[in-house]
Amino acid sequence: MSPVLLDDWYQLTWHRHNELTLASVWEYARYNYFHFNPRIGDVLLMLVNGPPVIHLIATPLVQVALLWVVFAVAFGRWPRPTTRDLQLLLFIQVAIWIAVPAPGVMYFYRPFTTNYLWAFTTTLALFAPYRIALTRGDDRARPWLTPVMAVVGWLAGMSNEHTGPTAMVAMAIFVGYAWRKRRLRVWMIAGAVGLYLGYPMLFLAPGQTERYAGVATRNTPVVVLAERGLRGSFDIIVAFVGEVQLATNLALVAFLAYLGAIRRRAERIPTLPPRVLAAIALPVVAAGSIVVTLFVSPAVGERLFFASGVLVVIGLVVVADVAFAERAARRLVVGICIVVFGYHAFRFVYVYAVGGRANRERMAILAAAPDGTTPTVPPYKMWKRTRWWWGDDFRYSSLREYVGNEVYDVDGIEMDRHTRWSEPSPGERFVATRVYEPPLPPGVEATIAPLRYIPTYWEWDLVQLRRAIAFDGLGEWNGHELVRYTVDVAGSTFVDPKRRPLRALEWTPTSLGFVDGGRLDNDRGQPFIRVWDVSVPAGHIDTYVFGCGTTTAVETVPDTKYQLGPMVPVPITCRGMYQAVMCTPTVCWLAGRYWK
Amino acid sequence: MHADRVLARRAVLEVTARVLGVAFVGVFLVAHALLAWLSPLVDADWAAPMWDARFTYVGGVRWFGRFVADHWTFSDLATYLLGRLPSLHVVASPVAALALVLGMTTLAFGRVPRLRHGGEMLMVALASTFVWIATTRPGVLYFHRSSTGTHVYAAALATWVLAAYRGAWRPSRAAVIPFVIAAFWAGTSTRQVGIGTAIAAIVLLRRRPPAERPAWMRPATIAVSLGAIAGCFDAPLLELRRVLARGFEQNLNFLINPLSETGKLVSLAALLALAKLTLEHVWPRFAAAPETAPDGGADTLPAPGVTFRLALTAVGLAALSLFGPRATEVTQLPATVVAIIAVLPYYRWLVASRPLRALCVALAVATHVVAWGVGFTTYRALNAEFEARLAAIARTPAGQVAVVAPYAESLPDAYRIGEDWGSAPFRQLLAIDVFGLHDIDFAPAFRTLDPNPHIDIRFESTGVTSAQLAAARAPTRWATQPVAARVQFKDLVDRLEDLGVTGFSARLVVHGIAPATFAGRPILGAWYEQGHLIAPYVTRGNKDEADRIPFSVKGESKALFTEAWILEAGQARRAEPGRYVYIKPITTETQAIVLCTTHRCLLADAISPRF
Repeated sequence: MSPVLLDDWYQLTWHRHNELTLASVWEYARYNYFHFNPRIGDVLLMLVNGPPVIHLIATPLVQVALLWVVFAVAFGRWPRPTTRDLQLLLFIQVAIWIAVPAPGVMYFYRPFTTNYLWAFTTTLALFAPYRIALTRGDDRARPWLTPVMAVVGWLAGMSNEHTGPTAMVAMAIFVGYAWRKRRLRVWMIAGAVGLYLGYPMLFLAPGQTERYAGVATRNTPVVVLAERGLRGSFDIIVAFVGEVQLATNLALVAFLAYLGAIRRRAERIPTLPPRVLAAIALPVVAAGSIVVTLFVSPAVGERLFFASGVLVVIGLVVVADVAFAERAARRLVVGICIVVFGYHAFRFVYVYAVGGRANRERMAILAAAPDGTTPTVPPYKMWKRTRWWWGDDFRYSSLREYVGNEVYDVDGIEMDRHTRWSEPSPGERFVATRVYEPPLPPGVEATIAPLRYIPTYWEWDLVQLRRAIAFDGLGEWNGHELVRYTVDVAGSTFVDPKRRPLRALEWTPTSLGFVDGGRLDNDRGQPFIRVWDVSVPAGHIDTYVFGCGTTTAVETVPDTKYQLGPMVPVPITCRGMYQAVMCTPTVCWLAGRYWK
Repeated sequence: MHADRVLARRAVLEVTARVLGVAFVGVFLVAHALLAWLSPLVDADWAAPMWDARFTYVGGVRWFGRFVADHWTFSDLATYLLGRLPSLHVVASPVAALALVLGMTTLAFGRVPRLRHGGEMLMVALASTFVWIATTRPGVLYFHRSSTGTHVYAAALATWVLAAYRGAWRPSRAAVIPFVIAAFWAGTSTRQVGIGTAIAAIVLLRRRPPAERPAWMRPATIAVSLGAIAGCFDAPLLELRRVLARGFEQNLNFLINPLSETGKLVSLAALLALAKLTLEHVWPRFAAAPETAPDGGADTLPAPGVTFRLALTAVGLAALSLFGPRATEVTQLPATVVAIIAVLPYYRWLVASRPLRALCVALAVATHVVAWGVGFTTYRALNAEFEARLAAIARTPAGQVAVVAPYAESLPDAYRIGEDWGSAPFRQLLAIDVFGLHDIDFAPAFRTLDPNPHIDIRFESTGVTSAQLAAARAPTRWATQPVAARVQFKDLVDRLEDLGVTGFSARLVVHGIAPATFAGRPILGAWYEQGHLIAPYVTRGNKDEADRIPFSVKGESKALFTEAWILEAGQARRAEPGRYVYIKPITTETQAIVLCTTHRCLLADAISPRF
């Protein structure tokens, strides 16, 4: 029932043009590593968007496996077929659902599921054997485990940027502890080596610098930390504490009921043994460590809290295990868990039954649309993002354009009605010009890597260009090398008194030109397009905003708050799309959009 | 010798604790007084001067009667006085805040905290810390007059009333009657505080054997219960329909906020408990603080049943706040207070560990330094902007339009209400009633600004003399915003009736809007004929998913209107019949909603959209 949403569409395009073979998977992973999202989760995403059987079988298995590895890391053993362990597994599942933000999205929106749930399950699966071996005192060599642990360690390292540092520290502690106790085994070293190889491979992947047109190079950890400051960092902690609050309360309810039962018998409260304290404290410390890592992450919240939330649950289930020694506590908390589990199960099924049907209806409309048309689709009734559901992904005009052209061979997709949350289409056309050296004979150029359309967003022009160079041979043809690729705006309502060309992107093998502007409302709610200062065209002399049938010359104002670049004020007189333009004496550049 | 040294050390500790206790109380009062002084009049604070302006036509006993009728609940009275008397906010609000903190500590431990006892003063400081941590908008709560008058004063009064119950205090005979009145007032304050206090009073009364009950308990319980019941019937009433219409999950979402805010205290306690238990294992000698050991043993922890009951009470109070009339972050204070009372005893157990005590002291100091520091910088800047605004108004000749700058931060946050003059009707009524101007305009504009549509609305009457109009303080300037003009009209009719004027008719005539569609029917802003006032209350909702603004008419008179029209650019188009009339602004052109009977039409509202 889980729908095709947002990042899923990009995978559908890949499957449309490629057979699923080991070679094609390798090609995809290689391209991602060097040019896009290098995480292993994105390759997994491509797989679960392939033949449905993969998603139907693998995703539920991983979701259940998460319970098992959480249990193993918490208690140093695998769950047994006993009522108590079933109760603890129920507690784990409920606690995860109430501790992680948006569980419906984490569990059933494939891109999050593979990039975060699968990924962290892999990380915990790496640690589970260490925890079990060191708890049991089982010192067998297990040579067969060595290659497995090396691979799992590498996969864990390649999983997420924000969990890697903590995982590496934790691994160092495990390995160091095993070494001190003279119980270090080869498979332990193999797992550690895999992890210590995988994470640097992920963090230093070339794709990180190219992805999102190099946002990562702009948002270095130091820059992010400086922008976020003490207040922003503190807010991350508070937000995380708020997210795991319900799960914490559930464990505390269990513990209070446990204390109450002991007090009623007028017995002395037993002290917690050190190993239990450590089993509670260490995952919580690890969770805190991952949260602290987010201080330097450009993105925060929701999906990035998943790993930390699960780690807190590991600590909480140990508390619950202590409390479950008392029947009153056990009955109370298991009762609560059954109700919460039931509610979540009901909501998951209901939301995805309704949302999945709407998604299928939308896809049917698009599939039935004749080529070259612009079909309209109704907005989802569940357009808002909730803890269960991602919302309507067609709110993004760029996605509608991409899906229409890449997946359904139509010219675009429009909503069948105006909505407050849906971005209008820009209403113009982009035209690409290629320059080869030596020049190509007439008529040949159109035959090289023909492009069905030119996206009206420069970021997507760049992605299209890179893919065409990597997969379709756009960069070189029989000794003719692509030396310049420009994307200009055609059919725009922009009126330039000096009649300069309006450009969106200019690429050469050694340079990249674009103006990166995004919508921003200042503290008074006044509309601006803020331009990243590094991308302001050299020799910039004029700034304009056009939209609603008029072009207005404006003066930029400085961004005194964040100092990221000049802000272009947007004079709004009617609903629709407004675009900023920054001009040099010879060319004008599209500098961002704002819509109302 | 050893005994002497111990006694001397104890004496030194007591003196140090007393000095620190007095210092904390002193700094608390001074800091709150300073911030209260800097905090400007905003939002609902203007209700007090507007009420005064409205009732200048009566005096003496009649004025007092009217005043009591409008301000009989404790919250209404406190809010009015704070809005009216700036010095009262500076003097009384810090005391109320301190009383709340002391009241919470008293309720948590069953005795009034002693200045000379370091541990108890630490609990007071932590209680204050927790208010800052566990409320979403603590600055607004403490320093925005309407919020502090409504919530902080009420909560402070309620905690002390209940503290008397918990300790079964036996005040002097002379104090009983004031105490019973205080109990009644606590009952009337807000619905959450009133109902919560009444239920708690009944529970505490019943738990005490009749022979041990002080004489005041029963009358005070009756008083607080009557106050709570009366408060429930004070307009605006509980909004059951709205809560049910929201649906189960949306209501749950509203409850998440107070839960996560107070949950910070629970999480912190859980983390500290983990640290305490760990420290006791790895660092046993240093972990304990011998001098506080009598208060810090595990046996001093409250019974889990008490904690459960308090937690359920907090959830119940948070849920009650959903029923309105307003459900905002500050209305969650009673739930927060109960949560703090529930967790404080656990912190007493936690601070028995020396490192944790140092940590809690550091937390308390840091929280107050940061909170007061941020408050000072925020309110100093806000006060300067407010004074500049008042100066611009003072420079504007009477009857003209003052132009002021919007606040630099127009959105609400932990300390600020945000821009409070965005609404066109409120702004124009304030300009006319309080400042004697025709309107207030902004330069530059801001996102939430609702520009005045500048409709030409004129007053006409028959059967009422100029002298009667003058006695009733008939407005010399009528608003150019239909809703504001209707409020003026309704108030005028009320005043004329109050002065005994009968047999008159009056109307607000709208000029400059006369599409042929209305077939000669006049367009009015409101009218009064044969003792019947037609001035319906028109509400404007938030934009919906399709960017439409819903308008609805409240009151019995809505049944009179059989047609609804939307006017835009001189054209009229029929609106879809239904509970709401929708306007969907596409341009900045002024749009108006007109409702018609067979004989005349009412200009319900008008907007000049901004994007």
